[in-house]
Amino acid sequence: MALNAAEIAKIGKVAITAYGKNKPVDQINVERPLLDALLPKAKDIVGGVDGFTINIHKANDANGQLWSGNGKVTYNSRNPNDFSKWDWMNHHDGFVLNEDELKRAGITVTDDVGKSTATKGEAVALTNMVVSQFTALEEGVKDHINSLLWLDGSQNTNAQPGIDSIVSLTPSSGTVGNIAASNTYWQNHASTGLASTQAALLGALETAKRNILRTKGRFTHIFCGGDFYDALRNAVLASNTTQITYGSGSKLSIDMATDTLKFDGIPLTYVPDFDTNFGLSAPAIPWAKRCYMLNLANGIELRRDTADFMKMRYPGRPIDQYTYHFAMTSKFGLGCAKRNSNAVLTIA
Amino acid sequence: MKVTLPYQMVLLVRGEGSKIPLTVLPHEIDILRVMHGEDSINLTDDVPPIKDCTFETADEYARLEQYYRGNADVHNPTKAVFRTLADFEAAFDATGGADKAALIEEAKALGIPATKNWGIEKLQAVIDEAKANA
Repeated sequence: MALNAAEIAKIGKVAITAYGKNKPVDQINVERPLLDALLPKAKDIVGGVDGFTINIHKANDANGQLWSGNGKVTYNSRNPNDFSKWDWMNHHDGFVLNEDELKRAGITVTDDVGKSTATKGEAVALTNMVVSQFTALEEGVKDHINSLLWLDGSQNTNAQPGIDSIVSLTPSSGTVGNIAASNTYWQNHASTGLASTQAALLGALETAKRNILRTKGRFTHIFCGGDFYDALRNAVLASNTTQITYGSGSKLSIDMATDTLKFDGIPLTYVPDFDTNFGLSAPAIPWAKRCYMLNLANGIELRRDTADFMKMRYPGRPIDQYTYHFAMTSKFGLGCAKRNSNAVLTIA
Repeated sequence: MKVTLPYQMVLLVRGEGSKIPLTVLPHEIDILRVMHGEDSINLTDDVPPIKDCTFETADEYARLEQYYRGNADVHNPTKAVFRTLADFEAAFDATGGADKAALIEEAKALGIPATKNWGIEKLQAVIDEAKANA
């Protein structure tokens, strides 16, 4: 039988709610597979006036000829090399705490220098407020950096181009990394408006693979949104039926989940942020409909400042406020050595 | 208000080494120019990967506010171009924005400093007047 309000009020004088003291259970943060894939191979930013470059071989300028007898041959001047040029961006995220809120959260802060000890205040703390704030800062920074690695850079004046620009839906437009995209060697493969059929989707994947292989490229990762993943999965399921024969009295155990979708041995990795457009609004072709085949081995690389990447910063305290500021800063950017080693596919 | 507009391609210029192709709706161009600078957005004849978009103006206004949000020291560029949803909706006539966008372009070609806040009737009137005086 439920208690009435008067009974609850009376009990409230002699008992408290059984509040949990567990570590807060994360409800919102998602996997960031691109960041996870790029970070272990990230290269250092070493300074320089304006970013960094990656050398490329763009042409053989071949001048082969046949001759016989006293026939003449010619020689040419060659310009086989160029470099792509990229820049990095500065990222900041920070929060402030004041002594009052800390005290009320069971944390006493003094200017005394020496060994810190636990106080009775900890008895009222359900969870460590400072730890929670730092966790939130770190997760938020990872989220934002991850989105900056994907977005095209138009969303902010200080943003550098991400995958959306490097592996473009309009690969022959613009200038990417200081090289005109009108150069056919400097174009990624793009195929948009694909039908959600097995023939169309597998055909597009095969064509993309062949275009990548044509110039001795390779793709190492496949990232896609929920719509693309479901379209491919449903198309494959619709055209592949398995018949199981079993006798009476026997039992079947069928796990109906899709374990892994792979193409050419590479799993299609679902990117949760694609389905929410990174917390922003949907672009012309929503991220959920996209599939990226990326070369993260020697195609696209992350450059970051080893001394300033997700680095905690502790700005000084203001003279007229008892507050504590905390920040996390990063310097990073993407570069691409081989644009034609990547592809983007989208469903209609 | 439901509006259908064609996508178009522009290049976001960040120095000679970086011209980022963007697929945008016509009303985004002014926002991009406020955000990145007047000379940083170049129109191009490149074909966008998708033809057009149908949207509710309230949804689109919210989308613009959210995407082009600026920095701590730079105000939201969407607000700088379209101060309110009403201002944004004023940029479209009841049948869609394509006609109005064409009139604005025509007016600008005639040297008239037309803006998206001008109504269809006003645009048509000044164009007719300019043509009559030509």
